[in-house]
Amino acid sequence: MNPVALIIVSLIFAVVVFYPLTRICARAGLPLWPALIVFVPIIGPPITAYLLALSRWPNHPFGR
Amino acid sequence: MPLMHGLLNLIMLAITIWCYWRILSKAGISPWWAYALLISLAIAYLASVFRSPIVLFAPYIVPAILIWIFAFIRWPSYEMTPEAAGENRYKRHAHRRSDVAPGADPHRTVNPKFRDRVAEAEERRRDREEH
Repeated sequence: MNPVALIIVSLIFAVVVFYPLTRICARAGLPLWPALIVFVPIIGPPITAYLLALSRWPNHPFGR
Repeated sequence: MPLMHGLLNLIMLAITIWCYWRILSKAGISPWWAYALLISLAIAYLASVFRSPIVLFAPYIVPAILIWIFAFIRWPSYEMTPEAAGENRYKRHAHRRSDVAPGADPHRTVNPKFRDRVAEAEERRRDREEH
């Protein structure tokens, strides 16, 4: 598989999901930089998922 | 080499499902929706069988749809008050209609084995006092 094509597809995915990720971060009370990490090709989306899953959400009613 | 690549992808998918599980739990949505990511595995498999160029996009289609939906739906845990945390902690939603009005659920019946022993003891004590 062509690595350049993989990187381009990953960047298209990042452009598509960037806006909803900023919205999720805003609702969770997190800064916007986890959403920006999605632009790192291939490994960016899972890293963003780990950050959202493992960080404490300041806006969460029970402080989770 | 392809076997190793496939194995690494599966491990990555399992970790991502775990992350989605945690994120959905925090939002108060059923975490089982995280398993919808397995659909992308099926799409990738079918695309590779038919030698379709979709195989490049396949791992991204379902996560993109899930992220868009998740960003705009209501998050039930955000609608609960911290005071309700003790009672509703393990409930999927803040309350069901039948919790507020038990008569609203016609299938909800009390198991006769579960007698209210405290109320029975109280009644017996009252009877003894009266006689």
